[in-house]
Amino acid sequence: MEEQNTENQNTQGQTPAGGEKQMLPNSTAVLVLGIVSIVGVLCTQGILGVILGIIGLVLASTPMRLMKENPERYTESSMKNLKAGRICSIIGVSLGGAFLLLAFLLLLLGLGGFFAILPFLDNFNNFNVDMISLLPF
Amino acid sequence: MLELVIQWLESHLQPCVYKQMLGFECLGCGFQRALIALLKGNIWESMVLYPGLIPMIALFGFLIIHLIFNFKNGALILRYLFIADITIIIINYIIKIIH
Repeated sequence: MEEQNTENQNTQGQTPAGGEKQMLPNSTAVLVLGIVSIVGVLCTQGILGVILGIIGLVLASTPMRLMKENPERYTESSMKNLKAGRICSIIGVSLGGAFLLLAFLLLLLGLGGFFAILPFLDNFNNFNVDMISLLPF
Repeated sequence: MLELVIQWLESHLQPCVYKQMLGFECLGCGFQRALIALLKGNIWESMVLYPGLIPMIALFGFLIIHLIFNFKNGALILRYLFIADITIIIINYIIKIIH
């Protein structure tokens, strides 16, 4: 099966006689998703940013492979768009992920009123050390 | 029209979950206040509240223009605008937390 697939791609991948170049699929969508992911990071405390960034990365994976196989077949602007969008997605995911991880760790440390909200976890209130006062800033 | 938008935004400010639960501000805190200040025309106040907002509007404006006209180096400019914006936001956040 795989051999067939690669064969198909190779036959498709040959540059047409006219030399007309194509747009990479999804390149614009990846660019937009990558840049919108930063707003997701800022406005929804990381969650939406991580989701949008991951969607962008997943959408970018197929055209990245196509681009590596035969870069001369696609237009240069779409390749640049794809690369820029991928970088923006990676930054969005890492920033949002780092922030979510930080919040998760702080919650695990028993910081803040999160456990106090949950009525069935009354015992956790005993572990509510005020870590904020221990932080240097 | 603009006044109505500002009024609606002011009455629908979304509180920050981080600030409520963990007691410190998140990366996006000040964003909405800065946006309202910018809509009112106070550019300086908006810069003080959230310096990353104006570069971000420039980023989105350039993204839309680039998608329509497809500049030659548009993607490169977008990438550097994005990185610059992120750097401004992170530096501002560190300064805000230290003070």
